[in-house]
Amino acid sequence: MNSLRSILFIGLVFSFINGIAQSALDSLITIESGSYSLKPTLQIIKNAGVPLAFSTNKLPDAEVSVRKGETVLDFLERQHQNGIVSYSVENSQILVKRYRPRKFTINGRVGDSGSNEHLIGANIQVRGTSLGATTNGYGYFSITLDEGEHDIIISHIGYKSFSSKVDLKGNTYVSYSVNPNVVQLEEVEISSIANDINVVSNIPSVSRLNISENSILTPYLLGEVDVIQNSLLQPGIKAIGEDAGGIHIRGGRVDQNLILLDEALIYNPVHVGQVSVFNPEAINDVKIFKGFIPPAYGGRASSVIEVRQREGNKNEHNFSGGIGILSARLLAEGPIKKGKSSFLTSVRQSLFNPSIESFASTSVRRERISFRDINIKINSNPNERNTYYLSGYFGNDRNTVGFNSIRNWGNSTLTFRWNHLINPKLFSNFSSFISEYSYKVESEEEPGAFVSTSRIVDYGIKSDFTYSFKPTNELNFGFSSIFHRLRPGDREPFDIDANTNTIKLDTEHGLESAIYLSQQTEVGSFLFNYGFRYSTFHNFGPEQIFVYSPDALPSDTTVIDTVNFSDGQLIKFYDNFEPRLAVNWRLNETSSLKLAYSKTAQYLHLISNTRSPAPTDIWKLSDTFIPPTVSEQYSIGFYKNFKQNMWESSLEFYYKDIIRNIAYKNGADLVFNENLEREVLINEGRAYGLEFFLKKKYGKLTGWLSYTLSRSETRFDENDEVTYIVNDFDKTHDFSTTWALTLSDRVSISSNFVFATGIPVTLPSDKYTFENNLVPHFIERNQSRLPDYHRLDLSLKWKAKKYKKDGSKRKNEDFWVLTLYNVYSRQNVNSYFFRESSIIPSLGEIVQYSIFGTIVPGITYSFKF
Amino acid sequence: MTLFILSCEQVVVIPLPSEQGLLVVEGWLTNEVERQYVRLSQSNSFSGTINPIITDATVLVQLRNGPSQTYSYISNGNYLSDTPYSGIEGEEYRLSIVLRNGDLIRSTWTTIEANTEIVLLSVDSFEENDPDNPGQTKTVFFPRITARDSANYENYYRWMLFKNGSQLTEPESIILQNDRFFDGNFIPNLFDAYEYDINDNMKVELHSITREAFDYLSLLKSQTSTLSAAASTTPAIVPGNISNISKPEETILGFFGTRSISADSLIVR
Repeated sequence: MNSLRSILFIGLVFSFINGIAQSALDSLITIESGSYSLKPTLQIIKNAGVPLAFSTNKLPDAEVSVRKGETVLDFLERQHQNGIVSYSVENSQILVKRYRPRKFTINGRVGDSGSNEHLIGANIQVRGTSLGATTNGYGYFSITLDEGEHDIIISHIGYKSFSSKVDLKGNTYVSYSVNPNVVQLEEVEISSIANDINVVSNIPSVSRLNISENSILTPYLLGEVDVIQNSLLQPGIKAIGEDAGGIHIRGGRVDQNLILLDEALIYNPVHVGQVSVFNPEAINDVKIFKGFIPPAYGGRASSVIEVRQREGNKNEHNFSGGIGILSARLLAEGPIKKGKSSFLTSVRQSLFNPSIESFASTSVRRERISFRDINIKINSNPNERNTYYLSGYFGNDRNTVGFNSIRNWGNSTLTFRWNHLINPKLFSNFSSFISEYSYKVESEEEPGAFVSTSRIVDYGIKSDFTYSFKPTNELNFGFSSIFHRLRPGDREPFDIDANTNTIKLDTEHGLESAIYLSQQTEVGSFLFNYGFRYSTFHNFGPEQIFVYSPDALPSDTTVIDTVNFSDGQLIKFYDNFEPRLAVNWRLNETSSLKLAYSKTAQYLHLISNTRSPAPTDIWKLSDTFIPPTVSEQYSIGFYKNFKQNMWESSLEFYYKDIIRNIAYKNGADLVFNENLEREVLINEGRAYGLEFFLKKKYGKLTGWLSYTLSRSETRFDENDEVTYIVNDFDKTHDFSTTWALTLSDRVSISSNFVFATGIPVTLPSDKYTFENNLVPHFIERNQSRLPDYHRLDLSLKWKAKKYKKDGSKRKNEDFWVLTLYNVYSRQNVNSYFFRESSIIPSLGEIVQYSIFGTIVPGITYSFKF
Repeated sequence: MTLFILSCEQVVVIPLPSEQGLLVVEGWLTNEVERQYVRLSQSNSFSGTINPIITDATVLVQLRNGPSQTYSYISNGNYLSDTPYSGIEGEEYRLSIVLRNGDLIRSTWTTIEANTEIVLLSVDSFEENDPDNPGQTKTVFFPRITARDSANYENYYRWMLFKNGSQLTEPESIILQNDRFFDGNFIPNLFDAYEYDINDNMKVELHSITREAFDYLSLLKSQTSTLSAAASTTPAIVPGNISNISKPEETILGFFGTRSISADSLIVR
């Protein structure tokens, strides 16, 4: 209380003193009108009792005009306008200094002209300078410039660039609207205003998927556009196979990607059939941080995948949707209060049962599969300082096996966000969210009927602040805290007639918190983005923990004691200091060299010992036995743009150490296991690689080429000998190229070609029989590889006529997409399996299995009105 | 699960690592009086056609603090005990083998577990479309079995189903169960994937096995049945309980286990 009083007191004194100086500015000049030398004039004013302070030798020898009867303020302001001196009121004095332009801050937002939705990552540049800014994850930007006239250029992929003149006389708020780029029939001459974010960005190794109608997200299998499948066409992002759900980023495991949908955590990003849970229609932006992880993010060892939902059209009501072989979708959006607030809601429902058994088997025991996604978003922008969002996602998969066994799983999230401009230079975001991932297996088969459930629920709060104190200097800071509550497994009798026992595994509780601070600044031709994140993790009771003999591995025979922790009692605490650094060295206007270092810690682990995760795999918090995984990544990259930024390219090398990877023993039973520590193996891994990316951004022909040369390995120590064995998902060469060509304003075609080294495979040296089962015997793991994978896909997009017969424009738009997946019917090998020959008993047979043995056509129809 | 309708399989010939030729031991000692068996063979190249067997080893099973039973070679790698005998519940047994080169091969000690009774075996059925006669349905019969687990003890079980005297190995030849969900309770099972017709002889056996045997069989099962798609386990050696005492660094494959058998049978009517 005392200190608050002193602050108040000091504040009052300051305003009093400043008050004196302020009133002195209003005093009148008594000199006769005329032209005088500057310095003597100032001295005369000073002698007259005005508290002027200046050092004579730092002021120019200029002639100034004086008008009798004008105030000191008017006089000084006139000299400032004429570029002679600057002045400021400091303490009790009026400081007169050599002329320097004043600086003011422009802040504002960039929105789509039609829907008024915020655009993320739009580029704001000042013509004739290297000054610029980018809209943040909430669509806001802030840039501080000298007073006077400026030509501001606003550009964004998929939108027409435009420039706007600003006469800066004070801090200004602006709201820019950009128009979507209509199909460019001619190769347009792009002036210097094209987006050069590839070169100037101080966050290296980001893959960006721009989900707008005009971007070149290419349709995938069966004509569906899929966020995850498209991300695989970018360098450094891989999946183990066509039937695998998770993605591996720069040699990391599938649980090492932080997947955020409007800031809430997504635990399983795929439905059955490897369709991603992100309905592309409801998504605005996908950013994948593969290398440098900005300090605002943390919690996973490999990458951050940040997905933002669309906000909804603030100006008019729209309905859009589509139907394909796999799913049907419908979206409605529109203003709640025109120009101020909007809503968006969408539903996607699977149609096709992506399981063979529904076709091939007439049995009542066949499998039936379905999924559904519901997205909602409401946002309100009541004034230029505040925006409120409420967004939610509800996903569900349902899989019926056998007579009466039903598996249900899904993610649900709900986020509330408030963006507030505290002052022109200080932007703030406050978010709170709930995420849930759960699965439920119901087996009604009498009399062993049971219901088993597993659930992870997160309650999170987060705040982020961006303080832009100079156009080239920005401070980011904030904190986040997530309370994780995991119910790893409850298994109960289906009803009172069922005679299975009830099993409830202990609930796990953890609090994952972090503070971060980072600065983005420019020194000469170097752009720095550096800072740290300090993360902590508390594992709380109630829980019963076994104590194992210190010199033995945990097992049921090495338990020496049990300890009971009460509700809320701290079981284990971990913390990590995570420094982050990125340097962008601008070599010239079109090229830069970027260096980065990131350390990240992960306190949650997916419990899985299969090649690719299953929806019923559970997550586990770090605890007494399972330490956090930590990774450190170093990268260096050369970025270059060509032809006025029409082409962008990058070449990047990375090296990553993964410390304390969590793995499981062979054959470990991980289902309803109360003592997972007995099955855990902790190992070290490393990954390194070279990535090349070349992209053409504008024109009739757009597309890219991506190549990755990489290796991802796990370290094994045996008898003082260290060996590295490649991970199951390692692909030495990974090449993809994607192109879209606009043929007319109604027809466009696109193609994907991918080539990758086959994934590692363990081949048997021997076989033997045990009880008439042919058992393959393996000596060395992953010593061989599957044959190379390659595939070509083609697609054709055909838009319906835009104009009616009478020449008026049709209100509704619709288009068809035809796709051909695996055009030349290559039987890419997904895996080998080993079995006994059905013709010659006791002969081992290697069978190559291809998921797609043939060309797969697909069609979708989409509309908007 | 994914679009398997478009998938395809093809037998291929690819270069494999060179063969190891390891000794493989298979043997079970039951609680029933019979000529107990042990089978000795050798692993060979995965794509090889022959299946080498060992015919000239000395084989005996020892009871801890008790007499040994000697086994003699019969055929196809099988050795049978010279006289019928049974394992005694609660007692520990060990297999010892002396190879022709003098190497001593031994299993760990393994206990005969207590028997678990089958309380009820009955027949259940369902109707499904008959693949041979489109438009027609047929009745599929399957066993419904209840056993009673003993409380406060970790029990490990293996089921074997026989149809007219032969073991049903499809869809699975190794059916394992533990009492984690049923401790001290009835263990209900509907084996609806094992199909029987009217008038078939339906026989079921419930084997109480040790935890080590259960772990061995689970790993063996994962290595023989699910090594294919993304959801599968990674290939690995299946470690057993046999070692070469003379040359400890040498890998011996296989397992010598004990089992207590309960059986029940009926004719499907």
